[in-house]
Amino acid sequence: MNLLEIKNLKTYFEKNRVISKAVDGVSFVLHKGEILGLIGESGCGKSVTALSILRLIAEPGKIAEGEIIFEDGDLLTLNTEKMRAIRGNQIAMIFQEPMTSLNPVFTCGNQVAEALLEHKKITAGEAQSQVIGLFREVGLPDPEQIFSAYPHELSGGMRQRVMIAMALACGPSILIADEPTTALDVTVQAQILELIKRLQKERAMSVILITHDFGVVAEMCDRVVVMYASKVVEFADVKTIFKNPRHPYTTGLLNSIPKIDSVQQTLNTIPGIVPDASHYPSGCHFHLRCFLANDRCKNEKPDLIEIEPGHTVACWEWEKVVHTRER
Amino acid sequence: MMIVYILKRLAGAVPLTFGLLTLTFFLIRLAPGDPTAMYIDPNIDPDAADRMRENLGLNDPLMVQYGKWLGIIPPFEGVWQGEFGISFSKHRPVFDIVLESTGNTLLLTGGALCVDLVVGVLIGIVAALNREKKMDHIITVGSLFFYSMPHFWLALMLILIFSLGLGWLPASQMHSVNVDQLSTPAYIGDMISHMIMPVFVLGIASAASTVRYMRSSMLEVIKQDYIRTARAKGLSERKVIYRHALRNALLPLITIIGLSFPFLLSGAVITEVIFAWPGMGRVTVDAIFARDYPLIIANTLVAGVMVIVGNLLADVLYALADPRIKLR
Repeated sequence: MNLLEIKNLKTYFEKNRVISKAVDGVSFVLHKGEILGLIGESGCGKSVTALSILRLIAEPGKIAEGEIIFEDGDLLTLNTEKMRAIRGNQIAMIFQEPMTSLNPVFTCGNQVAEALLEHKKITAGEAQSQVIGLFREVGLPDPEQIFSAYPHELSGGMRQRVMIAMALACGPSILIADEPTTALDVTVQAQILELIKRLQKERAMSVILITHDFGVVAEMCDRVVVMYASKVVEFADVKTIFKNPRHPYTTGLLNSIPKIDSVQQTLNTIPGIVPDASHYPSGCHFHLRCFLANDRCKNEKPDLIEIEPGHTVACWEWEKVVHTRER
Repeated sequence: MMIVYILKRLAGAVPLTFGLLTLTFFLIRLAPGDPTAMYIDPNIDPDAADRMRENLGLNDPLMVQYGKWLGIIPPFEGVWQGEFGISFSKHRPVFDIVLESTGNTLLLTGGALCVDLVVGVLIGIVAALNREKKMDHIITVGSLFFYSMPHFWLALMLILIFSLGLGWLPASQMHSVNVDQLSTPAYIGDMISHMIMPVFVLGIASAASTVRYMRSSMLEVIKQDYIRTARAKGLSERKVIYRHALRNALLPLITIIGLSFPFLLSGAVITEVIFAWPGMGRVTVDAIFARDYPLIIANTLVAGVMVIVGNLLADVLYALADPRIKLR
């Protein structure tokens, strides 16, 4: 069942008359109770897509076009008050930097309770006991003490748990996690991912998990959206993405995962870098870095086409793409 | 812990204040002219002037004068015994004079500080929230205008317009001549009407700089991650700005206000003279012209203590406002 549907989303940033198309015609569907991975290199528009859903794009960014359908309504047409009633309440978000995402001058408990008091009709006392319950649920030791602790007194992993507690406070149906573990130690990363997965199951939430790590995708996700340079290039369930990827960018990302039993000494990389959002190449945005690129790729933009049920790809040469990693 | 910190700072302030007074003691004696100069005219017997100098102890060697001032040469009492002496020009104990004027100056600088904070912070926020828009540009030009305007010129222009031209506000003094016959509310109203212009003149220049600090501090804070978190929680823009952003943006301002206190005091000297405000500034200026050594030192002491306490207060407030700061 579709819980959230993004249709042709375009989010542009304009500075000094130069338009940067950070997100340009992105569409995908989030099902109820699934974890949807959103993967791509830095600068591909993953975070901007996520922030667009909550309409938290900061100036000079603007959502130029598109629809975001949630509960039979388009989020982009809601007035400010109605949008606020959804933020933190039905759709919540956690961020990449737990160190700076909490306000340094308020206690952790205060900041989580604030979300409850904003959306639910409860007293401060009830909010406090609920927050302590949430802290216990996200595995924080000594929740009563952490309620009155300031963010700088906690480690990065603990702060991210506080952020998760804040996001879960009002029982949202969608949790957007924007690289929630990138800034954490490896051991803590695994704990946080496990926590998100457990909470997603227990609460039957849908999660949009933004990451640049295919290891995380394999571990966590049901379906995967691969983004490159403002566009969705491939969309399929997680098994298909790993077994039968059909976009050269997807295979490039998969090949760049280091393998322990590999004979070769160098790491596989995709040559080149993500183009600047104000100067995309003509045709397919990926053609400058693509080993299959031909004249058609240079001149014509490929559309997303469904090559098998539930598997879409935007590439002219998808039939030639063979994933060689497992060979 | 806070109490221990405050006591430590106050203990450290004692030698600092003493050093300041000693420096003042020698510096004013290095200045040309002497306290009897104001009595000298062709009709006065030169011997009489010399007797006066002898009486004031100014014929002693410098180190003896210093010893007497310190109070280490019996039977003379000095600062050690808490005795700051008799004013040369006003013939009264200097402490009585200083006590009368300090309250008036605190009233003036306190009012100016309020103008500084209220006007500076509010307009600074408006400027930050309208960044690069018309309002921001108007505020920038306006604050530079008031910042670069000399106190005395602004004061004279205000007197010209509001006292001489429109006749709305009194041009000088702290009370009207008929102050004795006024009821309490009328007395207060009378004093406020006398305060408006000097407080405005003194406060507006520092408010102009506060606007600039507040604007940049606010702009720095509203791009922080925790502001995005606050919005993602669904808070209203009002709560995001006035609860989450303002509290953080005010932190650096506490230090700046503490630092601006000496400037307010020095600005008060000029303002008090122009508006004939019976405060420390005017007393100090008169004392310097009369080479009234004991009165100059007493005023230096009060001003020094005010600056030290102002800075200490700023540090304590900072620690109270920012949980990351621990005073030791």
